[in-house]
Amino acid sequence: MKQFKQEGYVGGIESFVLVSMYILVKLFFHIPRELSAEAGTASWMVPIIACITVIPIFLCIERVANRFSRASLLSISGLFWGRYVQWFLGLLLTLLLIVHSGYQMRIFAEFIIMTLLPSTSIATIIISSTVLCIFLAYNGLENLSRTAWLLFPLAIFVFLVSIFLIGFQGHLYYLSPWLGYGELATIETGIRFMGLYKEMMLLMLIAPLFRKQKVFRRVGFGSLLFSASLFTIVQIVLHLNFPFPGAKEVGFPLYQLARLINLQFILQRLEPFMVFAWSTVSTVGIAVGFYASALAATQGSRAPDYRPFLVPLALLAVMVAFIPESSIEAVNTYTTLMMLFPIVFYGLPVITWMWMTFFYREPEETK
Amino acid sequence: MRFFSWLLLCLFLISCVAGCSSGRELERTAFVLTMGIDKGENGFLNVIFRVAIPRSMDIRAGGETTTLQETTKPVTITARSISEAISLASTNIERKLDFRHLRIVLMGEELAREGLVYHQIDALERNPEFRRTTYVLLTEGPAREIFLSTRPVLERSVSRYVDGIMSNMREQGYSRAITIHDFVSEMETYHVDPVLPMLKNNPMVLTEKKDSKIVPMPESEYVQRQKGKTEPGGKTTESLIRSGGNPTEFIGIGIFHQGKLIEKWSGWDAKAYNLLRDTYDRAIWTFTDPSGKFTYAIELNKSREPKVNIDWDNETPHISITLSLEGDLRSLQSLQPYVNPDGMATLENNAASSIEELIRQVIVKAQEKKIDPFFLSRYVRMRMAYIQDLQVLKWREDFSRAQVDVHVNVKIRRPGLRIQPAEEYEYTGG
Repeated sequence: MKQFKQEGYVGGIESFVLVSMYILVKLFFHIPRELSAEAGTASWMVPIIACITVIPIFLCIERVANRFSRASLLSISGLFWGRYVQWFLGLLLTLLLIVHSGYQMRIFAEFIIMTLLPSTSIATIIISSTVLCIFLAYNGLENLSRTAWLLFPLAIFVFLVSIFLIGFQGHLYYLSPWLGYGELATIETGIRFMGLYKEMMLLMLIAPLFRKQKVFRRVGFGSLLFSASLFTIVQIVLHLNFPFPGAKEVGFPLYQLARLINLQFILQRLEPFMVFAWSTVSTVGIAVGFYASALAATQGSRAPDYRPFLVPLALLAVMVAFIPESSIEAVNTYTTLMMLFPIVFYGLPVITWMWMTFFYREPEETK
Repeated sequence: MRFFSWLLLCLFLISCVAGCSSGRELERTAFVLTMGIDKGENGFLNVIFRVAIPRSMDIRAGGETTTLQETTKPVTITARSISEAISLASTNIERKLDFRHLRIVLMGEELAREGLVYHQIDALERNPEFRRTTYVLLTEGPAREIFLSTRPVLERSVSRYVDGIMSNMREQGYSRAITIHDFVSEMETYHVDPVLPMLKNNPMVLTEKKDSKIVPMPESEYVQRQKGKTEPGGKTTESLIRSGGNPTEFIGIGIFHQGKLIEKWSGWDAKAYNLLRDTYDRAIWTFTDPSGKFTYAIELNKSREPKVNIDWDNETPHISITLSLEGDLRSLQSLQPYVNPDGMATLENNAASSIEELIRQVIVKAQEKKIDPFFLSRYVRMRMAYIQDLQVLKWREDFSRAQVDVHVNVKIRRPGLRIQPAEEYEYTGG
């Protein structure tokens, strides 16, 4: 398709960083608190269990991409079920991604108001961040992935140093009782939170931009494992510092954790560094969301270029961002959507893989 | 057309970079450095803010102040809540109150006794201007009284004063430095009773306060005041026998149970508490000499983590606690030649048994009240698999009838810069 001709191939490391950032946006929101509420002291196991459950789904994406020389999943679905199904699936994915990005923007704005700019109107924050995200997304995945890769080393360094310093102040006994509400309850929570990695669906849209299948596979597994590791580390550090009944009530957990760094005379008030890491990841992540939604619309409608979709879809995302009446409503809806979206995001590649395996035959095979 | 589109976009972006409406100019901000909360009349709170006067601290700007009172101004507001007090304060303070540099919050004793401290903590947690690393203390009597009478010996900067006091707490163990985060964490944790460090005014020093300055009393009066005092300083909750310095003393801890202050423990008890709670860093301990006359002192630091083993005999827990301390000899008043393997072992055993005795006493006190401020239940929960087990545990009941064995290992590593004490060979006294 034309849009892929216009865009260059993406590098392995850059796309790994980009997909990871897209997945990790929610880590800086309220999600650590949600995991804590659901699994108690065993919340650190939830990202691991969720990751293990998602790996077979990624394998489906990988197998399908491999069979069709890394065509996008929407093109493949068009091949299987016709252009109307492709159009419908494209529309569905676009809408879901826009709603997802809209809620992310709203939570991002609420966080900014709560922590840094208490008197600034939410419209100013949402609109200015939308302009920035459009700017980032306009030049495509190559631009986004390079931006992400440029910022990543500093962001991850700051993030890991902060997490290490906070973890060092915590107490191991707050991680006990070790199995939370029980093994089965923890596994069940892990499965319910498969949506932690739902952004991995980006890979099924950008598959044509990879040079080799090996790179595509590595990016998928790498970003899954990397995100799972960070989710797990954050949950451990959260529980080392906040006893489990209180951990589920912490406003913005990572920010609150960063504010706890206090080595008396030596080191304190390090949260601006964490805010840098958080705003970097969030901005790039939301911009990727815009890009992904435009790409889904392009691939669904077989349009030649994604750019004309970008601004109208971003405006739709802004409208979505204004739907929740309060920050609590925004985070609760976002959590619900995180549970529901995987039905489509994971269901589509699984069904496609099953169709490919059981029903689809190459034209020469059918002769 | 393209040019005009870009121009329009740039003009739009200018509106975004022109500045945020949350901008807070330094010249329009009044930084609150310390805050006190007391129970007022008719359900009100008396909230006292100490506002910094930055110019007076800057010598280059002509500030020549030497005391805390000259670098800060206290303002008291009576209101229904902390938030209301903050809003009402704006009616008379020309700048916006800012709490991002707040270092300490004092809670009045009456507030604590009536179970109202927890109700005030929510405002400190919820408002982003308050940091969870702010220290919280409990005052003996009204917080406002302490607020107005405190006179740091050296510091004119509140931050350095607070940091210094908290550092001393850690280094001497007569109390425990606790932040809002620590206090809230203990509030929210199962089977532990939270504590707050105590501070109080010394009545002897208060009598020396004249025109906001402390003028030490004459020798005869000081000697007179000592009469009838038999207990060493810090052993009881009474104020120290002293003259001069800051009227405020940071010593002892207050223990909360079900939201209310139920116990006040002395500085010595706080040392034992710190050992059991594993918040002990180091402290100078003074013991009675094995000969029964004179004292010797050792500066002891924690050499290993406390080892606690809990075995259950039916419903009764058997708690075995082993504490390991090591340190340096700081004084040998008796002038006995203890600095040899046998003598050191005598001093170590004597010190260990004194500390064991002190710890047993505080454990018995806690058992009588059916409280566990030491958080010994952490050793039970570390062996638990499920949260449900922790929730049904009746630890305070179990702990109240527990058999507790305490074993303290003390090792004197260094004798200091003197080996055996100085000896005048003709001297026969002592």
